[in-house]
Amino acid sequence: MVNVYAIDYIIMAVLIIISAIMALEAREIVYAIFFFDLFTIGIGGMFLLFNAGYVAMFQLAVYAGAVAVTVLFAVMLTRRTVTGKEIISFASIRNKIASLVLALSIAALMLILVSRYDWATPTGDYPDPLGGGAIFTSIVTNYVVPFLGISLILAASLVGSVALLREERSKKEVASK
Amino acid sequence: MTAVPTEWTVYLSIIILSIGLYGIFTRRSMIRILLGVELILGAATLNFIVFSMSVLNGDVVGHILTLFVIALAAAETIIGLILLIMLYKDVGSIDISLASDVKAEEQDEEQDEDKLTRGEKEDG
Repeated sequence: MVNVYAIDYIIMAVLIIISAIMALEAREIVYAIFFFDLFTIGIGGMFLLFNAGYVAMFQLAVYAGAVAVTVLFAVMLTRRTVTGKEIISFASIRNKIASLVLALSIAALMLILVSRYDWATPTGDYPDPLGGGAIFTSIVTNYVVPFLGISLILAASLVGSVALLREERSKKEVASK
Repeated sequence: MTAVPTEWTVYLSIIILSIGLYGIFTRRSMIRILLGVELILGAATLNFIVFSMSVLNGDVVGHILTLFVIALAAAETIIGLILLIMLYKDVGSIDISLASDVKAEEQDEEQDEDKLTRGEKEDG
């Protein structure tokens, strides 16, 4: 019997790997961001396959929505040419080969370690998603301190970014005077 | 409907991790480096979810950690892009190798100032 679940999984995995490579290899940065968006959507689909619907929703809203649009805005603010091509020299071939060898050796080491371990796989379907209620109840009971820490980090990053940009502006004003 | 083996997802996330590492090592554009970091974070969240659903048999701890990672990644992207815009304003390019020149210039200025103050002392 053909396992529909495995076929879905393989299609999604191929989509994720191709879009991850294209996000780094596409010549034009705008296309690279579109491929990155495709990658995040693929990861969200993988979460749906594993019955993690709520996390998939956040993944699509935050990554595929907000982060991709923010990166796109940064590209629009910093690009110089009309076509969006980067005026950046790509790495030399020697650098590329060395990086490839390093990345592949790290991957090979991890693959060897992972293949030695006996990973538990559920025999039937994945467990019930338990609903979003279990996640949010757990956040406000067992994980209150990390949750507050995350909120502080988010607030600090926002305030810090605004402060950095304002400092730039005030420097310019002083220089012009 | 049967679950796919857990190793498949671990292998997949190792592949994504090595692609992200390769991107970080070879690219000079700051945006590409940020995309590489996001790829690595995506691989990590994928692992959290699959361990939560198969190894821990449906415990929500992996889901919660994934939510935290997503929030942290959003904050990291904001800071990275602000640094990118500041680099662009200073240097006029988003090439990360130019960022070291900025530091060198500042050191040169400091050395010049040192020389000036020394010269003043010698004159005095």
